[in-house]
Amino acid sequence: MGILNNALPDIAPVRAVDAAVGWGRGSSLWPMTFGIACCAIEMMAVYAATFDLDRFGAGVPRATPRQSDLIIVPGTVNAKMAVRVRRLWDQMAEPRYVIAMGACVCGGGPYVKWGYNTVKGVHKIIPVDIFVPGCPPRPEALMDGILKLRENVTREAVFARREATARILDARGG
Amino acid sequence: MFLSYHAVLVFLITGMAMVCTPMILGVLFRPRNPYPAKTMAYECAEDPVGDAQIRFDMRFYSAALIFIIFDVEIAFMFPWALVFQGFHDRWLALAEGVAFIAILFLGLVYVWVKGDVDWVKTFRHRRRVQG
Repeated sequence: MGILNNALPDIAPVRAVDAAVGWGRGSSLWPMTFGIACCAIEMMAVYAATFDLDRFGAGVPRATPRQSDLIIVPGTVNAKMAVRVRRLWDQMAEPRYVIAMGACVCGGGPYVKWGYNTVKGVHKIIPVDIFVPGCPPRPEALMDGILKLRENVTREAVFARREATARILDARGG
Repeated sequence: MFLSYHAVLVFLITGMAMVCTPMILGVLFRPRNPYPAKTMAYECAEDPVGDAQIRFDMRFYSAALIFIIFDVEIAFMFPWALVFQGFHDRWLALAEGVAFIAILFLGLVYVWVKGDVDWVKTFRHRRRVQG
């Protein structure tokens, strides 16, 4: 982490700066261009004009993980893809957030019993912030997930020393 | 005497501060956590193949330079054609345009004679040696 990240005392001015930074981060989440299976179709619908994710500042999918701070994992992650998903998450700049979209990514979905090659939930590979269930989820559900994530990001302690957030950041690998 | 340039000094300091301050702030604020998997080259999550600093065929360089002749020519022809109607001395405007094209055409003739238009140069060279 940076020199000042989670290193300052938890007092009012620091909290105010945290709130400002969190507001900025939450209002401009840049998702990564990433789609695996059928859930990606719904995700594209969310980006497109009818649902227009850009209203929430998250409608600019970046072509590289270096520029993105949110990865939506939409679709069945099989064993071969799992390595790639992990590497993509590794290559994202911090702070980075993960939305697991769809039943397969949340816990195996229809493949939970007989799927010999399906990773039963992407949380086994990367730490997930928001789970969006559904097969596939409606675009509104994904938007709800992004808004929930936005609440989390806004509340996160950036500079203040806060035990709970520090624990979350450790779990996230940051 | 030099005091009359104090505005330049102020501009210089302000300019340097506007560059340096965000960089220093970034060092203080940004999370920094490099590790091998994060810093490796991005190849859509595949293992990177080879190096980014590869050798490139020099013929593309001359092809790009020749392309400039046509590209810039056309780019300047459009505004010239637009103002041509309203020009008071159209013969002069036409002469200027023709002179411009002629100069660039001379460049084309030059590269043609030099053999830069030929993609495969070795054959031409060999022919010249034999003849």
